[in-house]
Amino acid sequence: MTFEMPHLLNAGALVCAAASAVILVYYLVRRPPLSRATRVWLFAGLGPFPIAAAVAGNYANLEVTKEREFCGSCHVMVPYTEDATNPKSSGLASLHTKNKWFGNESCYTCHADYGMFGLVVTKIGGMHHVWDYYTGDWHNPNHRPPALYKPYKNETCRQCHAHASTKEPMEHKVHKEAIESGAVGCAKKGCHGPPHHVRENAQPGEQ
Amino acid sequence: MSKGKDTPPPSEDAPKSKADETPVPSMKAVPAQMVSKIESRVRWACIWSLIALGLIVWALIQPKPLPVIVAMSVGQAIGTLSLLLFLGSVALDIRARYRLTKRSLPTGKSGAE
Repeated sequence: MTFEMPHLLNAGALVCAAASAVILVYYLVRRPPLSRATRVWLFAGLGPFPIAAAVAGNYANLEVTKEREFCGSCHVMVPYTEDATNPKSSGLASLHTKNKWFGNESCYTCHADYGMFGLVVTKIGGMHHVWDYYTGDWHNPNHRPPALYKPYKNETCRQCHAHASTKEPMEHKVHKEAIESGAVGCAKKGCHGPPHHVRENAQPGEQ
Repeated sequence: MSKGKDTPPPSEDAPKSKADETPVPSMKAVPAQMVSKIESRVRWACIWSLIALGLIVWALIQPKPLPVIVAMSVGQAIGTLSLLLFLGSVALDIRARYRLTKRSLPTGKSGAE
């Protein structure tokens, strides 16, 4: 049995929440007079314990949101997560998911913004998708398939695939400027794409 | 809290501390209406905090997009407000006691009578 950090934090947050709940319920049921001692333990139940539960819970939640299972919990994303985990698929998502460095977080690794605040920026951007999911009629067969709101950045691929080596293929050398400017996408059809085979039915103009 | 009447008075030679000069009145000395107001606020703080904890625990047990978003936004906001409500009620309590202390102190003209 392995103890990973998110699971430990999850357990810690639950313990803190339980301790806080015990204190608060005790106060609400017994209603002791507000002496100094009562205020001190009540403060523990309203301050440090819930704050610890919230901090540990937030961290655990952020870690959970990186997992592929979390992405697939919106049913419109299931074909994409299934394609990623399909060992027979030749899509980029599947090829990368097979890599142990991507593992269970393959969606996040490829779709996260690069940079110091990449996690926060990615999660704030993800709120747009969540809003779209809960407000759109995704059961309607005429509804457009899920799509990125911005073109996929080549920098994301180049985090791992640096292209400044002498072994660079001719196509990269020819299209170097277009690749760097983003005019040519690594994951587009005709280059290395499509990233997901389910995207073959996507409407024209969608990444 | 309150200094008991049984406490022997300090000798005149002993240096008087500020705490000895300004005894803090007990909760009983605070008007009943104020006590009721403070206790009501503390109870509401506890109830709101329990709701916030429920939302946080919901996200931990069921890590799906909606619970996680609700816990990290609504849950945090409610939890913060409940803590502020509690601290506000404590401040109200301290202010009420402070006013009582001030009123009970001899002020030269009227307070000593």
